[in-house]
Amino acid sequence: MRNDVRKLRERSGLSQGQLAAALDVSRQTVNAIETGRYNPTLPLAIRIARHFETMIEEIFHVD
Amino acid sequence: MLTSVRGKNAERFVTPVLGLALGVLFLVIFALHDDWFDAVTSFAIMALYSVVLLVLGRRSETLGLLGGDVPDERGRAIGVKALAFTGTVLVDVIVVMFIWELAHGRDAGPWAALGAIGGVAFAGSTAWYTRHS
Repeated sequence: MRNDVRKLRERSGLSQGQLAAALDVSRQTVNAIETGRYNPTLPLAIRIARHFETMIEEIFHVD
Repeated sequence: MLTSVRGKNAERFVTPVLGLALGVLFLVIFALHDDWFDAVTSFAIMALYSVVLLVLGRRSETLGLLGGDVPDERGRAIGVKALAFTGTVLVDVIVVMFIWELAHGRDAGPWAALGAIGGVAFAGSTAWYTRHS
């Protein structure tokens, strides 16, 4: 599943560590999501969407 | 370097402390049988393993997870996948060894018992999670 987490994070001027702290996950998990190695569960996807004040389907793309 | 939620809680001490406790247990058991070489060796191995997990667990994600420091859902998912892989390896070994011992005319009872325990555990947990997931 593709996602725009890296694009949104960089647009917000956050480091992976800062986003990880905000989401209460490890930096490695943020990196794994950004590189598509890990698909977050629905609760974490919702937290990510809320953090960037957008909707899940605007961040994660099933194709 | 690991950041954010890693190392926040006491969970990262669980496995090292358990490893050290097992080392002490091995030391006592071997010492009671006057086998001081195995007593010291087994304790040293377990103590070294515990120290490596504790000291390097904050620098390496793998060692952190092995040490019980599971920071988030991805850490838990890795644990489940690793456990499933380990179970598959154990089932393969048990089945192969059961057949091997039978083929050589030896007692395959212990392997059969392990296989039965695994089978009952798998069937039971499948039934449980079918109802509760």
